[in-house]
Amino acid sequence: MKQLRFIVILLALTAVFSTAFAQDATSLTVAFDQSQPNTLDPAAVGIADEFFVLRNVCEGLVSYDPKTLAPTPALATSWDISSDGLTYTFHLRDGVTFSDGSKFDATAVKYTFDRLANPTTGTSYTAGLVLGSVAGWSDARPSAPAVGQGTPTVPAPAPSDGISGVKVVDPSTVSVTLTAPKPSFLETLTLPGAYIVANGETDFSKGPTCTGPYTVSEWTPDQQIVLKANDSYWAGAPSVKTVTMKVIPEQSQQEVEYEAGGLDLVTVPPSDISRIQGDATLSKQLQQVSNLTTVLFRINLKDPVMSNVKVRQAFAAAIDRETIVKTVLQGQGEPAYGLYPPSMSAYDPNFKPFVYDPAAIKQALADAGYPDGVTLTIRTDQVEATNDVLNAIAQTAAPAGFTIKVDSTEASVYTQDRNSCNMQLGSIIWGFDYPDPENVATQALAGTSLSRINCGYDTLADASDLQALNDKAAATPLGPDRDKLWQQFDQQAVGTDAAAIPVYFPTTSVLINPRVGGIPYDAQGNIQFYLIKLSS
Amino acid sequence: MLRYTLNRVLQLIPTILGIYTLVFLLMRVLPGDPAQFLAGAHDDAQTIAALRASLHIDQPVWTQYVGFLSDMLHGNLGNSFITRRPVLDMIGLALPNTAVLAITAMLIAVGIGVPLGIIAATRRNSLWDTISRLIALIGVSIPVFWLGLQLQILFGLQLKLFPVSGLGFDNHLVLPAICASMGMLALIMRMTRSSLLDILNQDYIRTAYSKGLTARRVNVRHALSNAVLPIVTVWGTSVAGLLSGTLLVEVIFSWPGVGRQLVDAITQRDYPMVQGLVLLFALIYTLMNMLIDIAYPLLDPRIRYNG
Repeated sequence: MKQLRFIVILLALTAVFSTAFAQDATSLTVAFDQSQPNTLDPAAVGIADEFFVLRNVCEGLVSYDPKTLAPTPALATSWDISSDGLTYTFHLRDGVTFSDGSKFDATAVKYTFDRLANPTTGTSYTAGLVLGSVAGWSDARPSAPAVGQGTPTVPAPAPSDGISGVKVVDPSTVSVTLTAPKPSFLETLTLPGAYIVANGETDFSKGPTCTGPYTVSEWTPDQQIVLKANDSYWAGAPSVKTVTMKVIPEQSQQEVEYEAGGLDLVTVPPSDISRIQGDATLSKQLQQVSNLTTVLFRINLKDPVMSNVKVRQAFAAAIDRETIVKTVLQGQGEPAYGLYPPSMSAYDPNFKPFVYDPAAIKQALADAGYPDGVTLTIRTDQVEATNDVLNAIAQTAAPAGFTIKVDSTEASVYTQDRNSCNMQLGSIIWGFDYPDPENVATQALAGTSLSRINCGYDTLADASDLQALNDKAAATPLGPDRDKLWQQFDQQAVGTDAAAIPVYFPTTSVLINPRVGGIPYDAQGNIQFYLIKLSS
Repeated sequence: MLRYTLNRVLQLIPTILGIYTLVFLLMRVLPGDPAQFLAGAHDDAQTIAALRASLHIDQPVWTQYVGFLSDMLHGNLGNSFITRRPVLDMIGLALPNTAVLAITAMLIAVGIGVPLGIIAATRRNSLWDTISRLIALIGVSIPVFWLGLQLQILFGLQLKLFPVSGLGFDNHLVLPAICASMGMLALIMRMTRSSLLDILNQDYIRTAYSKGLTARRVNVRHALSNAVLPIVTVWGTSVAGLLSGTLLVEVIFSWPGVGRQLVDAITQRDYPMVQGLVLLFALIYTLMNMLIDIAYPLLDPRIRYNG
């Protein structure tokens, strides 16, 4: 009897404590993909979780179409480009206010770009992408020697009048002068670094003061960030009024939380796909989201083995991309032979320079002076999906004469060794900052940034040709002509030189609660809460 | 006694200083540069140089050590490399969460472990004893992460009784606290049982029975009070262990505590955070040990500290 009473009390207690997740049609709960934001200052942000918040809180002069990714008006309603392509005049949107009630005008734009140009405040890597070709940038940031080529110095103080290329014409007009034509300038204005903040704002510890559809109403590190709808948003009040962004560092725990009803959407790793497909309820909530990402190898061209173009070509061919995508990735992606993902207009589905034929590759290696095969070490940081793919590459390359060691170290160690060229091959997940081939070509392969991705690029026989091709493509206006030039670059850098070895274009699998109604991701793989309408 | 306590407190200083020095050196011996990690995939030499200067890691190690030490003595543990906020503030945010979890787990462990141990010892070889020993065996041998996942699946996903993750000093606490308490519960139960069994075989217990005392009075007054010393020792060290040992539980249940902070800090090479957190753990550990030693004479009058 005593025991029975105890059990009854226990049951009553659990009933009192038990939870029912409150869901209504105006609040949405999501989790941060990787970890959590460290800063919400647009001039300082650098990681995906930070971008995730800012994309919903702030906006730039220019935005992009969620489907085509083409530049569209945002805080600028229109712009004129001078005939020489050097001067951009932006006409600002009227009647827009910041979340603190102050008026949006040209001084805020000037303030934002001055902060971004200043090396002390503009610590986001997007600063160089946005302002790199704007007049006055070189005064703000004198060029530094590349990694491993001389001692870098601490930057000189920024000019007190800010970046000279950005000028206030009148309260509703801003002009920007470039040092060379750069048709992708409009695209780079969609980056978080170019998000406009209120004039004079210096304290970002509670979130930025911006003009976007949401404001940060709570920021508790290690726990959550809560966004509240900005009902006076110029394009109309958002339908979802509250968004809770939770910090759940372990991805498997995010899935558990989703299945318990605590999250409205969650990213799923390839290793979990088959389990979800076997579940009657969950399989219906599984969606594929494309994003702009290429997984490829960085190569040390100074390495005695990798400097041999025949070895590079053989290795590029020895990766059985189709099998890896089908098995290891469970179909979450597409084989990559070129650098540009399928959702970009420069993507060429017919570009397949490498054929997986182990016997022929083995022969090619022997002809190159390696009759006994080649031993390579691939370095990687500890990303589970990447490591699975690399181990699979090691297996598919074995019959072709490659003995591959996969050396997985912590991200901090990997970064240091990468910067000092202390690796033969390293895996990179290249997420495009803006939807243009220029972003991977100029940033990753050609030009001064080269040492970061490939070491010893200048040792390539056609290095100057590639650089000329890159410069020509980057200066050509957006459109088919430009795409054709980027395709030529791809054919030469990847097809002929194998100076970059693409492996696959990942897609993201997500579980989405049916009440979200559709897939709230744009073609870049970003979520815009503003576009979501929940059903109760 | 007072002199002994004072002595022990003074001994804390070189211990803490030694641990601090060791951690400082270990972090700098580890490969991986915080500035390059912070700069990430995209940044150039100049940015990295600026970061190194702003983090003061461009200075000689000796200068850094003296600087950190002097700051520490002034009660300043520096700023986190990652968030740029004061280390003390960040620990201050997370420590109460870990403390609540650890104290709840400890209450569960003591509240269930001690009675189970007593039952097992006084009804030796009975069904109760077998059940208790089985619980203890399971408690020490089940890995925490497995237990955590099972609790989540059963009580969170299937029965939908408790939330599966997140912070909350309500029903959110139930599953993580149970999970964190299991190891300690098993340890306390086994220690109570064996220590009590040992006492129950002593001559004076037989004497007590022959005086005509009830079993209850013998067990509690004569046996348990004498068996309490080893239990307190185990309890003390495992409380200190709990604070750092809730790490896995914190990760599984997304509980924002200091254990999770430490792992993040190490992988991100956040030197000031690692130093601050290790200092905290060292303090808790040494203080706990000191308190146990000081408590001995109070629990057992036969123990005396001279000088």
